[in-house]
Amino acid sequence: MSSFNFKLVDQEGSLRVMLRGHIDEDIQFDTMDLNGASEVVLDFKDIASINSCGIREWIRWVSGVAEGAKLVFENCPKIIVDQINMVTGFLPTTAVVRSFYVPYYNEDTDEEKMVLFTDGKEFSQGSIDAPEEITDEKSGDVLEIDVIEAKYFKFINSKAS
Amino acid sequence: MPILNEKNLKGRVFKSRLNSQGMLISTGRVIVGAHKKLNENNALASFPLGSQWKNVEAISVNGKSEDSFTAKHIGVAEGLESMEAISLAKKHGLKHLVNTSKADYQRELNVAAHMIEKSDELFKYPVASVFTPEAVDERNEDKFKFVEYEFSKSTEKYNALILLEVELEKISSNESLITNIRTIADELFTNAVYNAPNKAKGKIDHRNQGAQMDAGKSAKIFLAKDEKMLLIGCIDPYGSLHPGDLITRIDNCYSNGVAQSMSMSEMGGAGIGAYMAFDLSTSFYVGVNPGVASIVMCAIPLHVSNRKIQKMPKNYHFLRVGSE
Repeated sequence: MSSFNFKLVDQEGSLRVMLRGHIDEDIQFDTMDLNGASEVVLDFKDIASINSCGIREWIRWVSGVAEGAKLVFENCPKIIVDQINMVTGFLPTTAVVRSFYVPYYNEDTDEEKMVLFTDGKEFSQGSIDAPEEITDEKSGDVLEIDVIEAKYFKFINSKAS
Repeated sequence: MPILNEKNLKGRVFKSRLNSQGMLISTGRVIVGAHKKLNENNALASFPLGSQWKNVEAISVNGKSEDSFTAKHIGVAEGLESMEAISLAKKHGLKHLVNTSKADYQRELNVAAHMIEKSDELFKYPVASVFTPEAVDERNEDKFKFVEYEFSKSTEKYNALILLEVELEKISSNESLITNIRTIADELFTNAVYNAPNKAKGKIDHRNQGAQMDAGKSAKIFLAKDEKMLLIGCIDPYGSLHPGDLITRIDNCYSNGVAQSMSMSEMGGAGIGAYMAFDLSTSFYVGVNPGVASIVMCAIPLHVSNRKIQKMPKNYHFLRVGSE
């Protein structure tokens, strides 16, 4: 019983795969027919979780996809960025991250905000300039970046070397 | 507090059980050298003789690389990195490590001593064993635990995890904290329902074919908290977990990398779940009574930034009843 599903959207020149739910031991990627697309955009916006078995299934599947298509990762939540940095092969060497979320947090109010960083704006392939603080528009509270930058942005900085 | 399960969960309005005492008093009672700042050097000297713990020994481990430790030793360190910390367990048999750079180290010392001297209570009152190790009883067990779910099938996982998320959202809006607890809970649940029953029979499962415990057996996953700390734990009735294997897998991931340590076999787990749970938590508690029960618990500080949590040195405790 898998709580994962996906939606394929043909876009000009690429196939967008909207991923949704949980990547775990129940996932079955073989039902996803990418129809020989030359560029595949994996949209992680609605991915809620991934466990150790899900990481294994992902590695098995994505390595095969990367052989035949250019892969682009978009809207990666923190749990996916953590795996990109932690597990070699989670982001195939030929794939790129086009956008991902960075958490900002205020300890006094326990408020957290996920800020989307996009290639060409907040970062480029090989460099990143993340603000240490942001101000929440509604509350006026100041939130600090809530990652260890060297660790969280490793996948970007590694492109520079 | 009612134990939730598949039958009574549906249609229930999820309400977190407010602690009847309101804001809880700190559990960080000083047991050694009152009003004295301890570090790995003077904690050893200050560990009180004649205290309630008779058969334990606190020993400084910073810089130690050759000694072997026994089950009665509590390693005391200051700011030890995770990789070095787990290496002490893997290479030198250290079972309990307490980092004195953390504010609650006195409690952790007591937790270790309690696990060594009164191991049976860990399985009966696991939450009290962590929050109030100097007073482990049913009252303190119920005081801190705020949700518990009983399960026996892999198909119950989503119910269990949704329940935990709903209860967590009542105490914190921190998405990262909730996601981290969910990740740990997923690994604990999966271990209890897949690994525990199969290891007890010397079998390995097909991970995507579902699993069910033997008739009459069930596991429990629970959340507990005080004003500073959140605890997620899971106890299963098999006692087939091997702390040594767990330590080896965690150590492998730190030493060789996660991808290199992963099992890509069709059978069994990926072998990195223990590492994921350990890496996300600041204190890690494992207890095994062979053939009877296994318990794994992970603690994470509340209302602290994820960045600070990642920098915190870890405590760990591994107990196998009957081993030296």
